[in-house]
Amino acid sequence: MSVAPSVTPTHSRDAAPAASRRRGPWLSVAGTVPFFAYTAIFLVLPTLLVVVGAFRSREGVFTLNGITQALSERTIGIFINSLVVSAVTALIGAVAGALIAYALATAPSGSLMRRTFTAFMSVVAQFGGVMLAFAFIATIGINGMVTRLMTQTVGFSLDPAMLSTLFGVGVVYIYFQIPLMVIVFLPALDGLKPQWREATANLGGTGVTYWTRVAGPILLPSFLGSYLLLFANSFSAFATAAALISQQTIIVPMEIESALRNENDLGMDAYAQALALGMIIVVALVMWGYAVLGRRASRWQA
Amino acid sequence: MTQTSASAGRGVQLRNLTRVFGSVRALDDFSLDIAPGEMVALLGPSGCGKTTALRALSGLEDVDSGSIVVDGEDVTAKPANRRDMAMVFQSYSLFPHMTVAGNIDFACELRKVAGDRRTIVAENLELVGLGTQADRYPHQLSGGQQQRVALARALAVRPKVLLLDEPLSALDAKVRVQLRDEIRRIQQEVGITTLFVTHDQEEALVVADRVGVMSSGKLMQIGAPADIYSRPVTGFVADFIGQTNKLPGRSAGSSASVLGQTVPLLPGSASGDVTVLIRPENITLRPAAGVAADRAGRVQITGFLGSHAKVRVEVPGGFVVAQLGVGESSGLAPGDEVEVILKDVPALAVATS
Amino acid sequence: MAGVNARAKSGAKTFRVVVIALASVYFLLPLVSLADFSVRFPLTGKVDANAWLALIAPDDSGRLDLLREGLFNSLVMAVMTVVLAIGILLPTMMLVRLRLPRLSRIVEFICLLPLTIPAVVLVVGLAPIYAVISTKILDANTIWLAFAYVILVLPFVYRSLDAGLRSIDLKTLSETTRSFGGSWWTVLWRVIVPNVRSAIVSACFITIAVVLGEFTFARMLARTNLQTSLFQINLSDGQVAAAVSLLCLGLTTLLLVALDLIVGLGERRRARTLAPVTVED
Repeated sequence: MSVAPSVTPTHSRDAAPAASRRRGPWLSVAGTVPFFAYTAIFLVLPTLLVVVGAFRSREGVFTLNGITQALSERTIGIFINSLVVSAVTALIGAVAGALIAYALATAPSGSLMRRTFTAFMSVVAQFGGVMLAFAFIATIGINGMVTRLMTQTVGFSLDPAMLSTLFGVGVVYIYFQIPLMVIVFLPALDGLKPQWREATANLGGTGVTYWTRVAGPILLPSFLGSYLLLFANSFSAFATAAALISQQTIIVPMEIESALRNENDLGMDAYAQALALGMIIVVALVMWGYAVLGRRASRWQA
Repeated sequence: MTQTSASAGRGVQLRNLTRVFGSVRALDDFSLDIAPGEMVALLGPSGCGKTTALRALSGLEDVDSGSIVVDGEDVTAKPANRRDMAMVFQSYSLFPHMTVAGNIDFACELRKVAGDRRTIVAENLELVGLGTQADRYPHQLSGGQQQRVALARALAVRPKVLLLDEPLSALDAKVRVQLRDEIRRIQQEVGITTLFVTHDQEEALVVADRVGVMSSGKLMQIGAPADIYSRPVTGFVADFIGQTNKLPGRSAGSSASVLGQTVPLLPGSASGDVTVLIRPENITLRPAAGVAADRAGRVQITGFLGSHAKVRVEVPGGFVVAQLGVGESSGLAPGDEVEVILKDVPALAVATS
Repeated sequence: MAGVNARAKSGAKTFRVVVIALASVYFLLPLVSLADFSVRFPLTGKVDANAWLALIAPDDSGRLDLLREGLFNSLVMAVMTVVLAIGILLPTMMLVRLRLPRLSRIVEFICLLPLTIPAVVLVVGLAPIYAVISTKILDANTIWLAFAYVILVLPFVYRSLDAGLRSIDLKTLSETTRSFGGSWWTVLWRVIVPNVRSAIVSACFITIAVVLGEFTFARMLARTNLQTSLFQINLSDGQVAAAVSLLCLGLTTLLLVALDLIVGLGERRRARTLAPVTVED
């Protein structure tokens, strides 16, 4: 049974919308202005200032002074320090974090232990900078608890100056790299379907077969992507090193601080910006790799 | 039993399997024999133990007691990867990082299958109708195609037993129907012993040589599809398979009085005041006003299903659904008075609880 | 009989327990040491709670002034950042979703950009901007750093609000409200915000955690916030610095745990609302 469609005068209803339809899009665009204006000033502009500033002297003249300084032997050495400590701490963090993540992933679903420890990891991952440096000084510094215990019990004295070296910085970095890895890699492990393990066993494979031929290859893109994320995280870190080391500038962020402070020295024109530009290039490359690997990983998890 | 080809199936005997999880008896003294080359379907509602039985056979699940014998050998203590069987899962059977051909090749490599692997891969893909898809990845295939590849992979390793764990449950209805016929055809062509688990009774009845109905870890009844359907031994089986009407009646052992008529009963039926289980196709309706009250009915709803019609009729004691041919039902409309006639087909009677 | 599978499972369990136990010891050790340091005077080994008492007692010597200033600034900035970030982002995201879908990719790109630009880099570009702000527009007060902090938290706030907005049918809710005569203000305040409450709360919490832990901007631009003042205090009074660090950690832990709980609750409530009710026949 059908009801005769009611005849509604549509003209009057259209008139108002038509007018606002003309106004509408412009009003909407106007509504996004605060966002774009704000980010233009505080995000886009600073980035441009860095990129342009790397080639611009104080007087506004094009100069390669900053770049030249950034390519000096000493600065290259500092970059290498940053790259090495990032690569190594990312690797150690990735392996240790993957092991811990695996331990969590094998826990029965909904297990209290897993939920608690995962929450604990997300807290520790945020623990960085100055407070973490203090904590490590309190642990393995000159008057550290562990230093003291080790001297008293085993008779082995830790090198108190260790924390003020690149090595020491790396040791502290590992502390927040591992939880970050756990948080970032755990979803990938969860994405391993039990059917794949069962199918491997069913077809005659052993545990080793499963890890080398099935789970390993499937997890590799996620693992590498997570590694890159850890690398970028370590490379960008500043506060921890600043709190541990006072006299030298052994990594790029510290050199940038020193360069900013020395702005009165004309020879330092564009140097800070050049260093910052170098950092942008490294991190952008790494994050691009991370994005590419992420796409590959998600294709297989679908 | 002669084994005419290397892929001919082997016999399976599951004896007295018990598996307990906490307070749940997933398998309760469960026994099943599968003859070489036979396809047995295990059917039942969720939690009945059918999947546990399958996984116990495959070795992916342990059993607390009982024995599993395949091809004359007791494999109960053998780990899953040494049992020489092959399984198709409900979903995620295929390895996502390998191509279709790669999946099958990998399986052959693991099982050290003799012969030229390229040929084996090609042959088995042809068998399931996917010869052209060898270089695609699983995520590029549809659900039905993925399950076919999984089947090809299972067959390529020439297992002693083929295990199918609800392989069609995750697929669309139309694909399901298509694929189940394919599976049956391939299984018969290859002659492989197969255990097929499903909760879809239509699937089980269509596909298998014998159907086993399970409930609460026990095997309720096993037999050819027609037997299960027409001669259920318990109320549960009668109710689970197909549709059934429940009518009160009075049983004298070999026959019962229902709706003023006499209905023969199946062996094993109860006596006294009983509930008689009658299939819709065993009920006929005749438009007739003024029949004896005990067989009079009033039509409630008619439903046209293409090849047949289902008519719901109010009767003394409740209602029945009758299945009629299109011609028989054309004159009926809600509110009509009809005579409900029960055919002379044996039915099961159970004690009224 | 103990089967092969049971043995494998218990092996996995042992591995799990050992790894988690070792990891727990490793991660808790620095925290325990920090607590130990805060009560044990390093040179004499004397144990007392002076550092902690100094925090609550009225401070005559003035040595904790810097710390109080830093804490105050950080708290004010945390509030400012929250208000600014959500105040700018939520209406914008709503607008884009409802009226300007083609802009959504640009907005997303901009919001996730700070993840790719390290803070040390951003601050180099912010230095001249803040020079102008300090002299010509506002003053050199630390709290104006909040403007930069908004950028730092942009990715987190965006992701949080994005998840929240995705889980509600924004279009239908707003059209329904409008068809009943509601203004855009009504839509935002009375309809959208209550439904993305847990996303907003998550965004707040993570913003507060980030702002309280921020060091780089403040240090490079010579301002005083919680972390820079902690750094300074450590030079003169390490035990107090240790105590404050623990407190700050405790607070951010509470924040993050509360965040986890809220997100979990929000998800469960959402699942209940959206799950279709099936009628059993």
